[in-house]
Parts: sequence; structure tokens; C-alpha cells
Amino acid sequence: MPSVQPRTQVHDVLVIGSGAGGATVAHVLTGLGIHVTLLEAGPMLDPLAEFKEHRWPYDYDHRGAEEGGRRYFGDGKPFGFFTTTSGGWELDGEPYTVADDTEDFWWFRSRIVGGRTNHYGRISLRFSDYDFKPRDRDGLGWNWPIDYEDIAPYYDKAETFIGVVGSQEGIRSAPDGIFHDPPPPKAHELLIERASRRMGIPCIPNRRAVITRSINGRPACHYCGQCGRGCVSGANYSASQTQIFPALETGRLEVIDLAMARAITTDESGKVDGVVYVDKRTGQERRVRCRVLVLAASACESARLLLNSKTAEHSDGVANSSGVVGRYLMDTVGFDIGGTVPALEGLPRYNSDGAGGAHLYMPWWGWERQEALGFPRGYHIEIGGGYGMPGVGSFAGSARRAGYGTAIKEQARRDYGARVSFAGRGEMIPNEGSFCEIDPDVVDRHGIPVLRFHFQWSDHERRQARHMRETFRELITLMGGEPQSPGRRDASGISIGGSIIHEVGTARMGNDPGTSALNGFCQAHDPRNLFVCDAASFVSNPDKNPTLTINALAWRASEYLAEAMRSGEL
Amino acid sequence: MGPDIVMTAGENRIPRREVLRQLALALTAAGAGAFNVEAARVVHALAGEARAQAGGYSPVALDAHQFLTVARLAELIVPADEGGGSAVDAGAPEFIDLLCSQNSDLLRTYADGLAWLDAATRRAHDRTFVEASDAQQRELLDGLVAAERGESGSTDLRAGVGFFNWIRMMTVDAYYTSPIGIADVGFRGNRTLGAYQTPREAIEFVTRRADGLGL
Repeated sequence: MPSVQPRTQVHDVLVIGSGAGGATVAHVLTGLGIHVTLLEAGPMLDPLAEFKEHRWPYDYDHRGAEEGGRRYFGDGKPFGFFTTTSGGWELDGEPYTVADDTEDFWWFRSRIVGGRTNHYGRISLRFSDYDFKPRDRDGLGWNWPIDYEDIAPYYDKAETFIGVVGSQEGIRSAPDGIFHDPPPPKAHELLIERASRRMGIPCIPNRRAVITRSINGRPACHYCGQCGRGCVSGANYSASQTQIFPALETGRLEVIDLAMARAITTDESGKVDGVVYVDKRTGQERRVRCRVLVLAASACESARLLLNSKTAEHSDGVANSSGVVGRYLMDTVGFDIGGTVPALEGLPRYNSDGAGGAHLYMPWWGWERQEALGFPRGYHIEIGGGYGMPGVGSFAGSARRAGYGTAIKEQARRDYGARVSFAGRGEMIPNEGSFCEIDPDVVDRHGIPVLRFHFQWSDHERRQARHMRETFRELITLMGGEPQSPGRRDASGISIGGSIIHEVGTARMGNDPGTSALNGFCQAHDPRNLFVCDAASFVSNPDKNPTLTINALAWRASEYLAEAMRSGEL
Repeated sequence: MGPDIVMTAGENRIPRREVLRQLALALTAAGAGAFNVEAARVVHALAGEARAQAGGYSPVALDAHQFLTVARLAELIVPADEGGGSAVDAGAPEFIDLLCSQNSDLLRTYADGLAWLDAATRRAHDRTFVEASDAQQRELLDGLVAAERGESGSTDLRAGVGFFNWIRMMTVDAYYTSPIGIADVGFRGNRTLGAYQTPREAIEFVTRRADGLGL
């Protein structure tokens, strides 16, 4: 359809990005009767056509190795062929660069309605009360301008709406929420739980955004364990299915897909008055005007857009008079170890698919004795194991050990289900050496300047990763297993920055406009009709996966925004 | 059944391999040129039969001899046993041929690797790999495994380890991504359930093991 909109049409609320943040804003605002227009850089998602739920490897001639065996050459789809539509580490024509002072940084970007929530692990952990005041604990980093009490009602709302399994435990590091009944532990998890408790580490039902009873017309989980492929029936949370599609049905949401935002525009008073974007279908530039703008393009993409929006009133980029936009970039400290546990050999085979992901996890247990531990802040432990659907590469290790012949089959039968793994996910302290900025020399295929990343782990994170290593080795050894050395890691054993896909902090909130970009409601100090509702607002990056907190902060910001519009303030 | 007419454990096929070997030996005695032509004719005939056996599958990237050699290797790497069929039954040769048809680097890896294998077998036994006896074929693979593990001083064999790794990896993948391989390891999932339960016998097993470990 040709553009018939009058040039003067001003959209009430324009949202950029349709992931956890943007979709929550769209859902909450349309629910409050407000019209929302949403720009998404990727296409609309079609779950029925795109999700590979319940497919077998042999349904495809390439069995999951992908055309020409791309996967064998390290060139396959991230997280495997069967993973749902999401995005990748590299996007054609959309580069980013890594500064010379940085060993490496990986940036996973989605270009699809729903963003990274289509594939994410769905681990849904509330921040603890102490997570909002980290500087008060150890003098490092900065405090948030909000308290746990400010966000708790929005954790309640987010959990109630999206649906999260879990249990009431009363552990300070892992505040309880409003939960669906969790599925019972898998067999190998019972062994892990015994080893964990022996070490004094709590091991409790996992908290994941999956529903075990029907809500909002979504059927309960059917226990195929394939959340990462996309759930056609929508029994897990994805921003696309849980929020965007229902919001579209209200008639108050318009999604403009394949729209890559180039720059924010402001009027003579410095207020945001619109966005210029590239229509990827035609390659043409378009302009959309708005009363209020909400960025939710992902922490780094939102920072990029702000920094690329230099106007007369905002010479260092919109909302960047403090100069903090792009700064204090954090990822999660990742460290994984697996091992084969002979005690699990011979376990009677059963269907261990479950509700997707692990049924148990270990919240941080050392918050009262950080000084004795020798590193600040904590980590939680995600566990792996069980009888996964065999796929390309599943038995490569068994084959190498066995050589060839029937020995391979015997080895594979012994190994299957006898492997466990532990993934530490820890808090990084923000530092001056970790940030993103506009690369002055590189533009993407649309001519938009790209991000250049600087990223440094400090000794805080390295000491924490060493503690993870010792903990995981002890867990595996207690189970009678043989810990394997970690794979693709730098010398310190820590994950590559960005590789855990928890980038946060690039437009942090705070009470002081001189040291923060946003206030506690994710609203820019200047201009006030701009909000940032992705993880850019994070002041710290606790060991809790960020998505649930993105949902809660976006929900809270949306209610605040709606009230400000109603009162005429915006 | 798969296309491995010459080589499987099926009794009705053993004589065929014997025929080929006797033929090859006889032709060797008759002179190198005659041997090549005759052996090629026999292999071609057998490959035609292989296509029939495989439900009409015609290799699209590998030639008939290469495809037969891949099939024999797949049979040796993942043979049939009481737990399931072989990698050939699981479609490994077709899988490998398909991916080679889509990737010239991979095809070169196979073409070079299979040529190396035939050359190595010729040096040792004066015949191609598929013409060699079962024992001779296993001797070669044993050497490759030893070289892979650093237990062999033969630099000649080390050159073949890279290819052996490729075909083993892809053969094993083809087997365990097939219905028979998935059944072999006992995967019970990919179903739609009304509720999730860990079976009592699995819980009891793990509890006993935990007790045994003193946990």
C-alpha cells in the first residue's frame, strides 16, 4: 500500500524493538487503551511455518548438519539447526567492530518480531534486594535509584502474565515469586542435588518462563523439552506469541516490520519528535513522527541509535549530555564444565525431556561471606544432563574414544545420559574499559555507523570464574565423575565478552542527570519524552538472567508513561 | 537394506565379495591393465546393484567406486549388532554423498581421502580398499586409530587420520540421527505429555548410586 499517511500524523507512542522490553510496553500500553506503533528491524514471525518443534533429525536429508554440512565447518545456525528463528552472531551487511584494546567481543543480534525471546533459555530470576544496592555492599560499581520494593509489584505482574514455574524457598539471593507448579526433578538431577547439598549449596526447582497450567488461552506445557525450537502452542514465554500477537488483536498496535531505525529526530526545544528509519523492503528512508518514543532495540542497539542521533540540542547524541551512553557495558561471567559420571551409566532409559531446560538450579549461596570467598558478588549454577534427542555431534566424543566398530555403539550406549554439565552465570562489576561507541570508519549496508566494542574482564570476574571451576570440579568429583576441561575459553577460563548474550548497562538509570542517562522509570533525564525499556537501563548486572527484570522495568515504565500521557505531562 | 552389497555380514553377500577378490587376484596375475578394466567393470556392476538395493539411490557427488568405498567404511565404523542395524542401514553413504554434492570442500576431502585410502591399501596389499579382505581393511583402520592416538610411528598413516575423522564423524552422525540409531541409544522423548514424571525405577536407581557414593 502506498504511503497514504498525512505527513502530519503523529503517533502516540512509537516503540523500537519487539523483544522482552518492547513487547511488554506494547502489551501494557495497548491494554491501557493507548495506541502503539512499533518498528522492528526484522520480519514478522510465523510460528507455524518456522518452528521446528517435534521434528526429527531424519526429517531432513542433512539431519541437522545443514546444507553442505555447514555445521561441520563452524558455519551453522547458532545453537543448532533446530533452534527457532532468532538472529545470529554475524548478520549480513551489518557488521560491528572490536577495538584493538579488546581481545574479543561477540554481539548476538535478532532481527525478528519477538527478538531474542524466541530462542532464549527462559530462566526467570528476580534480582535480590541487595542487588539494587551493590555499592553499599562492597563499594564497587553503583547503586540503582530504585529498590526491590519498587520493582516487586512488577515482578508479580510480569510473572503472573508470562507464567513462570518455581517454588517458594525463602532464599534471600533468589526472592520467591508468583509461580506455576514446577515439574519434578529429573533422575540425574537427583544425583546432582545430593552432591550439591553435600557441599552446602542449595539446589531448588528451576524458575523458567513456562506454564504448567493454562492461562490467557495458552495451553499448559506438553513436556517435549523443545522450548528453544519455539513452542507452536505458546506454552513458554516469547515476546512475539505472548505479547505482540495478543496486542495486535486489540487493534491498538501497528507493527512496521523490516524497519531499521537510523536516527532519532528532535524539535527546536530538544524534545523527540520522530524517528528516521530504513524500509528494508525498498531501501528507502522514511520518517515517522511521535509524541513519545520508547527504545527497546537491545542495550547496545539502543545505545547505537542514541549515539547516532546528534542534533543541535543534543550534540553528543540524544539523552547523552552525561556522556554515559555506551559506557559501563556488562555481560554475565560465564564458565562451564561438563563431565561423564559413571554412576549414571545403566540408568533405566526414560523420557527426560520435561519442561525444557533443567528442572533444578542452584541459586547463589555465599552472599554473607563474600570477603572470605575472595571475590565480590555471586553466581548461580545452571545444570545440564539427561537423555536429549540425539543430533549431529551427540556421539562424536564416544566415537573418538572407541575408535571404530561395535565399540562405538557400546561406548555411545554407556555415555548416553551419563554426562552432566554445570554453567556458572555470575555478576560482572561495571568498569571503565568496557563500553561501546560509534566506529568513525565503518557503516552498515544502510549507511548507518556501526558500534565498536571495548571489553575487559577484571580480576573480580577472573577470581569468580576460578571459584566456579573449583566448585564444578568438586561437584563432578563427588558424583564419581571425571571433570572435562572447558572448551573455547580465554586463558582465565572466562567466557568471551558478549557470548552469554546478557549485555546490559549502556544507558544506565540514576538520580543524577550528570552520571546517568535515565531516571528510575527508564525515562531520559533529557528529553523527557524518551524512554529506554531494554537492558540499557541496568546499573549493575546481577547473576540473575536479565529478561524478567527487563519485563518488570518495562511494565513499570509503561504504567508511568501512560499516567504521564493522561495527565498531560507527556 | 543399504547399498553395501559387497561387504555386509549378510551371508548371501559374502560369496560375492569372494568372487570379486578371486576375480581381482586372477586379473592381477593377468596383468595390470587388464586388471583395472575388469575390476572397474565388476565394481560398476556392483554399484548398479547397490543403487537398486538402496531404493534407487544414485550417488550425485561421489562416483560409484567412491560410494562403494564410503559404504564399506560406514559398515566398518558402525556395524550392525544386536542393538541395531549398521550406519549403511541408517543411510550414512547417502548422507555423505548429499552433503558432498552441496560442498566442494567436503567433496575434495572425500575424494582425496578415498584416493589416499586406496593408495595405502594398494601399497600394503596390491588392491583397492573395497577389494581387500575384511582382515586387511580392519588392519588399515586399526593403524589409523593407533596413529590418531599417537600410538603409531607411521607418518604414512597419520596422513589418513584427518579423512578417517571426517568419515567417522559423519557416519556416526548419520547413524544416531536415524530412527535405528535413536532407538539404539534408547531415546524415549519428543512426545506430547499431559504431565511429566520421572519413573520410580529411575529414581530408585539414582538413589542407590548416590548412597553408594556416600552422598
